[in-house]
Amino acid sequence: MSELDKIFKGKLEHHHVSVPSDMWDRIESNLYPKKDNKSRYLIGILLFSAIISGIFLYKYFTDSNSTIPSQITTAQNFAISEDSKQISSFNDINNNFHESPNIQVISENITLKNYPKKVKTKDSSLKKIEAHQQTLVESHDSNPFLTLLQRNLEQVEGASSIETPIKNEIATTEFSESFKQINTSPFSIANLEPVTFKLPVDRENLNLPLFKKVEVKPCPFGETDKFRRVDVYFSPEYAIRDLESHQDADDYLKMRKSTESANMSYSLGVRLGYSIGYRWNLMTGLNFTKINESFEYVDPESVSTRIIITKDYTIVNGIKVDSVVREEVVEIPGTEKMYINNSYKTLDLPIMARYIIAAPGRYSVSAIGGAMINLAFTTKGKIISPYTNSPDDISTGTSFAQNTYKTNIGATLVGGISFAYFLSPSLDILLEPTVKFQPTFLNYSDFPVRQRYTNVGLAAGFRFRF
Amino acid sequence: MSPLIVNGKTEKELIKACLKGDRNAQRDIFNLYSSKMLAVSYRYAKDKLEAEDILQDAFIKVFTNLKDFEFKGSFEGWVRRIVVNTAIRFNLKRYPALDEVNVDKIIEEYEDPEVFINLAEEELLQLIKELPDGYKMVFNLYAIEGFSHKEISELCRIEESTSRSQLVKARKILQQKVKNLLFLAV
Repeated sequence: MSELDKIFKGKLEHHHVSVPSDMWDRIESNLYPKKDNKSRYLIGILLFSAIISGIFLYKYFTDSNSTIPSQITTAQNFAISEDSKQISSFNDINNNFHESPNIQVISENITLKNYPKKVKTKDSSLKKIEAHQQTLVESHDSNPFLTLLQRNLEQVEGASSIETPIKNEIATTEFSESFKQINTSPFSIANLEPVTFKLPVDRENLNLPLFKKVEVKPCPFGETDKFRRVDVYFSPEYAIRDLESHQDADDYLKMRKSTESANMSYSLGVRLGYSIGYRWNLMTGLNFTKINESFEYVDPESVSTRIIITKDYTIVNGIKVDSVVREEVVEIPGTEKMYINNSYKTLDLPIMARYIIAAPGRYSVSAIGGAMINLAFTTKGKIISPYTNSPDDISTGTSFAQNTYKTNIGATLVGGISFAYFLSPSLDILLEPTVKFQPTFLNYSDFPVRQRYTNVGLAAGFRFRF
Repeated sequence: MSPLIVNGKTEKELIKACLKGDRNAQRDIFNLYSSKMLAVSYRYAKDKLEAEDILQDAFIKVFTNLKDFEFKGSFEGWVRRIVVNTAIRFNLKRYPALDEVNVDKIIEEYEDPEVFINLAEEELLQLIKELPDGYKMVFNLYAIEGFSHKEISELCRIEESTSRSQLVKARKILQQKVKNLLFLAV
């Protein structure tokens, strides 16, 4: 260190400069930012999703309480595995059988609920049963399902309280109708095979043959732990940009907004799904998102030169006798335009859950949500630099990009509704309106303008089961 | 050295209170060091506004990274290092690449450094402010903060030889400026 250096160090090392009075307020506002509108938007989206999910759940459970066939007619309810306690809907019925005086009640409930439009009262249900009684008796012996049912009823504790044939037939009517519906469903009786079935009443002694569903069912409820699926999807998206100034850089913010505009973005990916319980699935995989924008900049200092050539003719008696050519040079300022396609690419690891809200027939509706953990983030294109007020390169690897954009943006929150249509035992069609929200900004905190996105998209794809 | 007392608390107590999110303690820490740190950032910045921005960012980093302070060295030195790093970052954004100068071609010919002794702090500061950005940054880091050329090369992402050459040129310019001042004074 030279003498000169020592002099400077001695005089300036402990030098003081008076600090503006509002400086601490500025720092404090950055340390403890007030909740901005975006937080409110996020809360709004979550509330909206909760309300929609609530409506679905309410409708589903209301329907399932009044319409037993939606549970019974799906072959799943008869595809009773050895561990019959897994089948909750069937357990509900058996639990009712436990209560001996409920046979009557059960019969009424089932009849009324099974045919709500046709049978309005107990009396009319009994008339209907009487009208069908003869047919039912005829088919009773030849129908293995009805035989099974009657044997069940006879062996269930309290079944002896069935006092009249009519009461007994109420129950058999119910199940015979259900049985007919099975035959009209996409899964015919040909797909069913006898299995050993244990009633929870007396599991050791009550082994009865029933039918087991062989093929995969459209209804996703009751999927076993071994049931896995792969979703492949593509989602056109619109990226709503959140660009805000946090260092009194309002002028720069205006320049950014005036020079950049949104283009259609997209996501694509693959997810592996795994059942973790009744209605619940966990999903993970890989997701790639590309947010596209246009950067359009007119250099105010650029000048383009145009030469205007004017040719005048002297015409006498219709004949050109002379001509004069003039050249005029005109300089037009601000004519140099720059068009750049900017892109922000992310590679994410989704960690999501799917809750099956309802599955009527071949359709299923699920709520999906979770987070996507960012694995990589790259940028490409140009933006106005806050330091030079001219275009600068934000392509990953450039010095401006290194000082401006992060290389990892943390987690993105995802939520949406997943509609699935059963095509075949191994294939579903998917349609998923989704919202993806970035809680963190893409920029470093010392960059004067902060930038992040909320993507709204409609994903379409396929679900492969294996 | 006796422990520093601010509002009845030592520096260590203030830091621990900051770690618990005590805003009053944070303000006390800020009041304690802000004027000195603004002088540091002012030496690197192009103007006072940028110096304030640097200070603001630096103190945000200080409070958000306070858990990393291990109470081993001087807290003021730790804060100063953050201010300097933030200032360097600001400079690199404006001027990503410093001019490369061949040090072999520069011959150090200095006036008597004693002439600087009579200059006031503000005058010296002004002399530094008038240096080109690259020279200013290297001179500040080497002469006042005490960094080596190797450390400067890592901080500023330049070659060591460039750091040396920037320093030599900065000194030369400062000498010339003092010479002019003295000439005008006469």
